[in-house]
Amino acid sequence: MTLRLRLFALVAVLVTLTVVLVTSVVASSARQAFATLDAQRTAAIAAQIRREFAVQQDQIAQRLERIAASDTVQRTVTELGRSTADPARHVGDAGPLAAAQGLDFLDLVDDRGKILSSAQTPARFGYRHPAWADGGAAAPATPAALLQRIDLPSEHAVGFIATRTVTAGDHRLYVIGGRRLDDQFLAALVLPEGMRVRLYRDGDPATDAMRPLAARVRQTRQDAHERIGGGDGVESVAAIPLSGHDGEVLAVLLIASSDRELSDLMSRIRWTGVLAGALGIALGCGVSYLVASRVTRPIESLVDAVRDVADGRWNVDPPATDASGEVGALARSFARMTAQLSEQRDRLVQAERVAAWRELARRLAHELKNPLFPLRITIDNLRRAKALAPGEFDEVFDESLGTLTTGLASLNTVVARFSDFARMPVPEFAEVPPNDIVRHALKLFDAQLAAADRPPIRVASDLDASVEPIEADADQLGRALLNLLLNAIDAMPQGGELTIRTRRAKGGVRIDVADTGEGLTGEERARLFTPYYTTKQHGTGLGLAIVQSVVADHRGRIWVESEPGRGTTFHIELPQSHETHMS
Amino acid sequence: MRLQTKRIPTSFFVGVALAATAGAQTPPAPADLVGDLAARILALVPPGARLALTRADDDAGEPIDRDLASRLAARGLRIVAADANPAATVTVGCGANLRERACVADVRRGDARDTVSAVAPYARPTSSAPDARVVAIEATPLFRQRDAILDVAVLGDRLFVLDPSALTLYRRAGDEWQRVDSRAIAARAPWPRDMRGRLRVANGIDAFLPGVTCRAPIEFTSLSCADQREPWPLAVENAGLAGVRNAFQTPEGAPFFSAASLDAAAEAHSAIVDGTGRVQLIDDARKPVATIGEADDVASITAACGGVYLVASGGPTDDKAADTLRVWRIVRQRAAAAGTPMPVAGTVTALWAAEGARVATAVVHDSAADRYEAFQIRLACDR
Amino acid sequence: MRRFRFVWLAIASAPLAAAAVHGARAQYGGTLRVETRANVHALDPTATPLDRVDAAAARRIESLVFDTLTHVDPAGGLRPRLATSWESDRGGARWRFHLRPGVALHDGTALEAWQVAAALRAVSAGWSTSIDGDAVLIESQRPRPELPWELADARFAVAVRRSSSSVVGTGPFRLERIEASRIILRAHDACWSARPFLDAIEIMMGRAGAAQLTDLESNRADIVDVSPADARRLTDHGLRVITTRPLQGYALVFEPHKADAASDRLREMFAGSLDRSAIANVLLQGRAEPAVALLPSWVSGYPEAFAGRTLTRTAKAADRLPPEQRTVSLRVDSADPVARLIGDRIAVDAREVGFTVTVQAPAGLAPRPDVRLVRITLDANIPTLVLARLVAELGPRALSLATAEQPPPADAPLAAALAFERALLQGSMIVPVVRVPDLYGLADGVEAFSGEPVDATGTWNFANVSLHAAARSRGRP
Repeated sequence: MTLRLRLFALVAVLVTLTVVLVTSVVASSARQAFATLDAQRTAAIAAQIRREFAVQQDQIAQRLERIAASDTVQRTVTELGRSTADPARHVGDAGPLAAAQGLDFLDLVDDRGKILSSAQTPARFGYRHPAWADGGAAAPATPAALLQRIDLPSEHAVGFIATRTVTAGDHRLYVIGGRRLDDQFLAALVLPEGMRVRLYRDGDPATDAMRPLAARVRQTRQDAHERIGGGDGVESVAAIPLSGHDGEVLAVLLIASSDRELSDLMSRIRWTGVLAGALGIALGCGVSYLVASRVTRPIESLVDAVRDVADGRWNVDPPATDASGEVGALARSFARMTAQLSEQRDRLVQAERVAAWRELARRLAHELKNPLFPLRITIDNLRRAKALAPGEFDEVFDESLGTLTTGLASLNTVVARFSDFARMPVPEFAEVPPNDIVRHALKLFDAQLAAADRPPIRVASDLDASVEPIEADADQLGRALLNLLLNAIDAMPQGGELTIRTRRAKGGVRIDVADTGEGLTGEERARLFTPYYTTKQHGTGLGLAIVQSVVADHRGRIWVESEPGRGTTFHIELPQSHETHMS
Repeated sequence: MRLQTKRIPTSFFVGVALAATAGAQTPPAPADLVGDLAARILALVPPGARLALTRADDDAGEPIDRDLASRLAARGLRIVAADANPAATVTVGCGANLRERACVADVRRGDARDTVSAVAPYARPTSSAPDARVVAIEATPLFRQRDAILDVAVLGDRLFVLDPSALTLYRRAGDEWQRVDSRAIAARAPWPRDMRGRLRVANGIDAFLPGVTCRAPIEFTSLSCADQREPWPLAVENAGLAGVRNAFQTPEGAPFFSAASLDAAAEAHSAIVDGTGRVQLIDDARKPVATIGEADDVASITAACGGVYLVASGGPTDDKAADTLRVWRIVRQRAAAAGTPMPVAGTVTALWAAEGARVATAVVHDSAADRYEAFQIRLACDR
Repeated sequence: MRRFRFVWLAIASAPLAAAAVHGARAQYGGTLRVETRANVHALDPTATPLDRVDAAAARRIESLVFDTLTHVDPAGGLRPRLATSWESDRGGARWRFHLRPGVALHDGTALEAWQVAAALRAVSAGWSTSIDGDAVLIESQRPRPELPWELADARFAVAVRRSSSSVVGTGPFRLERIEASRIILRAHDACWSARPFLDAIEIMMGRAGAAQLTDLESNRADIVDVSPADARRLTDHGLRVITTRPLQGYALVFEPHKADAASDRLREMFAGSLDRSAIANVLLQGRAEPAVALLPSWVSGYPEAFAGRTLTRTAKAADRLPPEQRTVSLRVDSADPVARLIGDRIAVDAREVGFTVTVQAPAGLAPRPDVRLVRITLDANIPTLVLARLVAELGPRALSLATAEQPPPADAPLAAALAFERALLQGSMIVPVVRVPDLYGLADGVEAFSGEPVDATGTWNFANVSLHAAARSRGRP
């Protein structure tokens, strides 16, 4: 990580920590304030609901009184006292009475507890009223309307129910009625913005998030408070159990206060923190950038320069030499060092060049010396043969002519090779399959390898059929391969294994030629591609130079892997197009 | 007679209950079906077997049909109680559908169950005339007086009027009756509250009163009364009225208040008003075969176009309301209304008719006018 | 002298009516205004509307316009009508019906034997008809000893077809016109059974129950349909209500998926939970009768206990069933208010013994129910014919699920009819509940010269109806 980045990171962390801390403190305070306000509002609504309950109970009691005093009920209880009473006459009485008084439930029950008429379940006439379910002789007296469960055919309802008794002689008629407690009842309440009230009864098909809270309250029979997340956001829900006269929880009142305001405020606080943090970070970036630039730029320049030098680009401009302080001193030292290195490299190059020319001259002298020696001997022989008889002189003269001709041809060959190396032809590129070139080159050595008088050399060709054609000069490439194959064979005088392999390379092809000869030392490896450098007794030493030149013309690269005693492997990579380089 | 109409609410429930009751308590098997039914049962149960005989609707222990039981016993079956481990249980039920009267018996022997039936189709109507025969009640006022009238009898231009204290002879003089003679009726014991009396005029004049029978020659020269209880001339054999009662008794001891004979189409002997006010049809053996309603009195009149009709009097629960006279035609033990009911201006205190007669006598007490009026009741056929 | 305090009652076998009394003779003239819920768009004995209520109303009206050869007497027995007598030979495969002479059709022409034969041939319930002088011969391949009873059915009324859309009859009234919601009948002056008292009958159709009651109470209608729950209201207001014998039955019919042996106990317990007495006597205000058999005794001739059985009602009986069998869905006809009342009570009764019951009264598609409350029509005829019609009404599927037995032929003995009815009810696939009568409210001034305006078997006896003076003055429609 660069210094600049480190500085930037440090500044960012500091700014962030500060912003987070401040934001948390503010948010916590806001949350507390909202909780307090929410509790106050919930308590107020609960009180309002209780007052509304009390009003409902009073109304129900009054309406039941009216029903009990009505002509219909009075007539009913009187008729029931007769021996000729016909209950069927009254089975439809409760419905109109309930409708007239706005009650949801109304049962007329005789003194044996049998339902005479029911507004909510007309078909239940004749059955025992639930208030007599335990076999009691009389219904519990409920002058005030109490919360009770009412079993209906399709649901279990909850409502305020009161009872009135109407007496005529020895006969009694019980008037049991009330109103349903449901969400409609609660709809009449006036609630602050963001608050809602729901009534949860057993069996309600509510599947929303409040159900577990309601269930818990039913079990514990105690108030509870919880924050519940839903589709519209989080709500703060207070659950109050509503119990019947026997203590059983019949319904749960859920007062929900939307946390939207709090959420909005928290969101604003959060966003403010984020913005502040971003601004701080940005500011920190700027500051750190300015600070760092004064410090890190010279160092980076130095680093770049070092990298260039490492890559061999010695002509790098001395960086930041005019910088002050340690950085400037470092830059100036670096500049001096690169200058010295460049000078030394030039001297080295010159020396190598001189050494190469010396080597070339030595090799050339050596090559030329061989054919020149017999030429000198032959001239000496001719001089001496002048003293011989004409017939003998002719014989010696013809023999000498042949030797001179052969020697001159050799000289010609050396010169030609030298000339060839100095003036390699321009390659003519065409699409050629590398495998075909390899096969062709191998074929040329078939006879040589099959000769019985030499130790066997096993040829293993591993040619990848998926290798695609490349743009190459088939002749030159073939000559290069021939040289490599020849070197490999020459490296295994005792026999061995010659392996030639082709593979797809990125953007081209790779050709490996490996032998199991004696291998090369480090010095030999270093000078392998120097013209006229050879480890063989014969040869011009130009083969690998030519190979290198061909590879270079094809924009490829060649390198060797070898260790003494382990054989040698030449690797050639050639691009598909001669206009691209193999990297 | 036209009266102020009054809507009398009906109680179908009670009617259905009665009908249901009448249906539930299916009467004993009709005599003509018992034999056939017994034969079919005997074909399934071997002689000597122990047989339990029950009724289809017998939950409260109604008596089984004795006739059927006796026939089965006579053929060798032993009739036992249902809980006495019988070899077979026979459940009998009788009724009638639109085509026939029927008795059905369910015979269970172990797991086997067979059902047999005996039916008696109704006779096919012989007349091809339209079946709409309607009669109308014609009530002709005969006589009125303030004192109670028990019965009146017309003989030519003479009218005999029986009241609790005397038998009086009137002779027609134009549109009125002129009193001719009156003979006191002496009775030792006080008359009953619900006083009833009947006149029979044939070769002489017979007056039947509770515990007293008076006789006079046709010339009405004298009247002799004796404290003796004689059978009254009713459609049903009786021992007369006891001194302090208003009901008659059959030889079997069953009380009845009124009786009227029926013709063959009724497939019953006569109709009586029993001790609870129900009008029952009884067979020759004086066994009830059907209940057709309720009434105070009944009398049978032969209509001008033929056929015997049952006239019944009665009224609603309110004593102040008027009575009505209704006409039924009894066919195959079922009663069909045969005319429009006729209201009367008061309560009918007596309704008498001789057997086969074409007229009946009705006495009506108009409490508002404080008088009794006797009418001659006829049935006119309008179609 | 009144000896007892009792309620003056009508005869058990005849419909009840208040003793509204007019001692005067019946008066001619006037238009009788009748209202009904049903909708009848054509009067043709050979056509049957799909809706049962409409079909029953059509038959009632057609009985005023067309005559059958024979007629079932509500008191029992078969009466002559267009045929004065009849006899059969060859075991009942060939019948000869002697036609009443001097019968005039509504268009004034005389009814001829060939017309009667053609009318019966048009119905063609498996017979061939021919004439022999003034007699109509009916021959069938199989013996039909009960053919005279069959011919009493309104389907076999003699309707003489004048054109593809015009039929005439011989009844006391002729059809003047049929409108979308009204039928006008006019008195047939030359009716063989004598001209009716009324000049015309106007039948308003498609009237809702509440509207009919209002019209009756405000004197805008003379005779209206009444439901059992409303009959008491009319009688309390002093209006008359005519009740026929129970002619409509309600029965539970279980669906095929509840016909398997595994559901035997479920059906039995569900049937056992019924409180028929409460339905008949309280819910339907005593205007119905509990039914344990399909046929009432006045149709069958034997007590209902022979054919059906009253299962014992046991508290919490359903607790002995597997939980998945305790839930039952009951479907009732949403257009039948009486069925809804009964269905609600059945549900309450079943819940009391432990079932969980949902009542469906859908107007459209709904999930398949477990059991249906169906309405069946009882004819006034012999038991075998009534059973055959009843089985046809229930459908072949219900029959095949209830029993493998086939309905007995018309001439089968009574015991065979009993055995078949018993077999139908044995497995509790079909459970009779109650029977309800037809109820009619009568306005003041409507009198019947003979019998009641509607007889015990539901036949409209309007030929014998006369209007009191006040109603008569309303005149022609």
